Amino acid sequence: MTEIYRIALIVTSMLWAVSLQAQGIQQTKGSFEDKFRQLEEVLPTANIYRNAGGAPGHEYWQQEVDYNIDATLDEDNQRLSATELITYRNNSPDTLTYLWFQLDQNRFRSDSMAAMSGTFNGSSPDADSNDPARISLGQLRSLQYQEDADLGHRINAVSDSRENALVHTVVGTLMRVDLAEPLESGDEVDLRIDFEYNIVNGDVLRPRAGYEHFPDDEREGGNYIFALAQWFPRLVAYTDYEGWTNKEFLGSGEFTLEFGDYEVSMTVPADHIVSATGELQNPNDVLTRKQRDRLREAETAERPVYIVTPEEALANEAEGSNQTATWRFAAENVRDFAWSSSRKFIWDAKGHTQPGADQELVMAMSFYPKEGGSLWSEYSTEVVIHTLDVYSRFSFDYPYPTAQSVNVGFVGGMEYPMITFNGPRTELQDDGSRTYSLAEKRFLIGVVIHEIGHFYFPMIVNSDERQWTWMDEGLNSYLDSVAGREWDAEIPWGVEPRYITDYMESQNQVPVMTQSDSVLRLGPNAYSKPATAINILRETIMGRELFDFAFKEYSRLWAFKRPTPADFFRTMEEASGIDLDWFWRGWFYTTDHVDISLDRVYQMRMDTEDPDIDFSRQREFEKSLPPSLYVERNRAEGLLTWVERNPDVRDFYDDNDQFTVTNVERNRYNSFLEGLEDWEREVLDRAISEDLSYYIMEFSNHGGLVMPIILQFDYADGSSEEMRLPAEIWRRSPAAVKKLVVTEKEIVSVTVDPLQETADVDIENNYYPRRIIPSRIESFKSQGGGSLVGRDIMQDIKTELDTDEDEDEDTEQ
Amino acid sequence: MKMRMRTLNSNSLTSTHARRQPSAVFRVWVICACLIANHASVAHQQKNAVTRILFNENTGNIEVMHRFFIHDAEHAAGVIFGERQTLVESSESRQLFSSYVMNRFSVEVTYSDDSREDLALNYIGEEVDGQFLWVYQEIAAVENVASMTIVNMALRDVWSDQSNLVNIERDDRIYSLTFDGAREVLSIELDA
Repeated sequence: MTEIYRIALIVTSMLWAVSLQAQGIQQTKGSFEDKFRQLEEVLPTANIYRNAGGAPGHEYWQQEVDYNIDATLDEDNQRLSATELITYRNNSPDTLTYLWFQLDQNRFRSDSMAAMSGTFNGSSPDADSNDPARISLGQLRSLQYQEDADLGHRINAVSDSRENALVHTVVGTLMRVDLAEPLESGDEVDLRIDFEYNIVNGDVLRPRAGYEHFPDDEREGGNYIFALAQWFPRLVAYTDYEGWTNKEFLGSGEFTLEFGDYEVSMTVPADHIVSATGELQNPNDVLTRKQRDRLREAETAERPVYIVTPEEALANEAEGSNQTATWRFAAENVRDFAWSSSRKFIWDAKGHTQPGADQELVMAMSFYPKEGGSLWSEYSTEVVIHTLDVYSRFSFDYPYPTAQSVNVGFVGGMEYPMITFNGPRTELQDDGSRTYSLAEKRFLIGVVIHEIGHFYFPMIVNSDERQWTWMDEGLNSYLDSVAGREWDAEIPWGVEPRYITDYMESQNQVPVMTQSDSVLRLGPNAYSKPATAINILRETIMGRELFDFAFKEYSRLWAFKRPTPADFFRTMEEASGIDLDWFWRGWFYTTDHVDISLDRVYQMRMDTEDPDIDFSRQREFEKSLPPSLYVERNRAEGLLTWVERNPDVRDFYDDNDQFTVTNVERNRYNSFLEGLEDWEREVLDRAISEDLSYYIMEFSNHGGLVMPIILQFDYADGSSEEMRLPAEIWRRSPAAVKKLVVTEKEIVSVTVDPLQETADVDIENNYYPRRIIPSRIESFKSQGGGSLVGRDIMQDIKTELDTDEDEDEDTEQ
Repeated sequence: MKMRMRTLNSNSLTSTHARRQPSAVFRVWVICACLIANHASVAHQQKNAVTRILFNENTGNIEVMHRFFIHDAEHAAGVIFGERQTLVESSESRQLFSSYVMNRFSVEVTYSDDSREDLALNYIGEEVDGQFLWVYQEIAAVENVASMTIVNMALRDVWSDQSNLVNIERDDRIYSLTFDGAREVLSIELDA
């Protein structure tokens, strides 16, 4: 009995201790919230691997994995088989008894956690109204396909360098391989894995990689574009902050990997063109002399040069070949390897030189079928080069020999080292020509910038997208908007603060610091909101000079290394000398939004204390007040007061009002002046002679997020002036603050955040005095947009909709 | 001219309030206007839209403002209407898209006396602003709205991973609904 009691007591006290620790520092009196509390208890403790300044520590380590892969592509069966030889170097201080691999293809199995935890995206049936449920043909197709297609990695053998079979255990999208003997720190181990899998039909499942079929091509059976990525068993990253990053792949959070060297041979139909991570090692075997000459010419060309022309590609795709060819690629110090193969490819290239860089010549190349057409030949390769140019300026020289953009139709856009898959296409018109819309053109430019930008983040600055999607998507979306605006300022690139306000004020959101698979609304959460935050940091909080220095420092410190959010947050502070904990806390750790209101402005004028001046000012003030309405009306009626009717009765007070100054006040004033210290007298004299306007401005914070208060004063003389108050103004009273503003001129109106640079969600309370801010619809109507209503097109609209059998609409006049 | 919209599932508006347990095998409709399936995974295209429903005290109207990425909308319009649409260039394409949006969106209000009404939102127009296409609807404000039930299927019958956020703004309060997954009809109480 006593023993049970004692044990229970210990358990209880342990729980208590744990919960106390989890809660950290707490405000337990009053309601004050410290928006500027340092992140010390939120960020991981600095250590020898990651220092407190956000840089790699003096004992920083990461593993190295080299791959040598022989792959064979079976086009007719859309199947890939390969043997990979792996050298795993354990640079960690730990002894490893097993290694974990990613088998990403297993995500597509019908019994995968991704499939089993996917929720139904249709409607439920309705008993009352006998409404049927709805499911799309597309959803049915993918269900059927996943059931039929036998997807997922098939591991045929795992062995060590002595050809001893190794025990391997598949756990969802992961595989544990037990080593024959423990791998000590500093040692390396060689492994061999034989594997194969059926390549996923991209049009059905919309994966990041797979095959695209063109059944209508002239060649019998049509043609394929193969995009092959996440295709070989890849070592899971083993890290100082998480150990094995072996979290099941659910489809949303992408991945992080180890850096290493790759040698990959790809045996494909002889008429295919292969694009891959790295550099082609055997051009003499797989390229014609003409193609090799064109490649050399492209190195110094003004505009992209065709290596395979559209005409050659067209001829190529009409034929086919029974032969195979083996393309050998090598890549050094990359964290992944992807490739693409098709006989449909047009191929263009242009050299990009980086004077003084380790990699002076970079070949920018694009691979696309006729369906990509002139949209691709005009822009893809040029956009690749533009992106390298801009990103390198903001981070580091591009370190790799190639940068490629491949047109894969089912992919929006996806990135791997030195190779990206991008979706935009042209439209075939009835007259046989191919055209593209303005929106498609802008999308191509935007998506190529974005995916090529990923070469830097996260393919070189190797953050973990499965844990922190924003670290590469957010930073990259920030930089892609910078590069976009440098491409063509007329194109709207987004990331303007006002575009994120609807999301930030919404109730249904999670903090940016949320694991990728749990994020609600990944687009605004992991892309737009952090990108907007970073833009605001640069343009509004830190200024370009300090920001650009710090961001470049972060990029430099973590190139080819593995940063965590804490490393980014710390480096940005460390290099700029600006405390940003409040900013990270507000934008990344909370769901607060920005809404600063200017509630009230008081105008004041300094009293001179001189009764001859002050009393007459008071008299003027009294006069400026509106007269009594009742007296005015009496006067209008012609009523005369008793005093007016009896002017002969007068005394002293009829000639001296209450503001009359006597020597009593003057004597008091003189003794006041005599009582002042010298410095007090100086201050008073100066204030009186300057006669400035004093304003007290009262602000309240409705959104919770503390931000700088940016003010524009419009003066009575028509001029205006800006004043920027740092966010720290909120540090002692985050809900409301007052500020004394002294100006030479009289203010007639004040605007908070006049250029809309802070993502303030409610503009109306930014004005003092208040002004009515028209809603979008009001503005639209005032610009004549409303005149569209009632046009004949309305009839056409209805006619079109009648063809859609799902709908039931009626119209009333 | 007024155009009264009733959506494909306006029936389900009322049924959400009294839904019985299914007792039989239900019918399933298949939607044909469908591009793709569940697992769309792209590192760029952001399949999300925002709708603001604003009780505008200045105008006395309830304003509905739908915001779509133009590139998303253009591809969807091409699928829905079976031919190529160019939303930046062509006002006809834009109006066609608006008509589609309005047919996939409806609002039913429940008054404080528990009576209900489908709001017959008027078509105002549409415009391009930056990367976005906006579609506008409005109706004279109605009083004593206690709750709203909203159907928002815009683009969600084209891409099942399309996510539509609806913010309702009244009296400085914001109420949010997210249409994703299987959520086609959502209700929310508004503070008195």
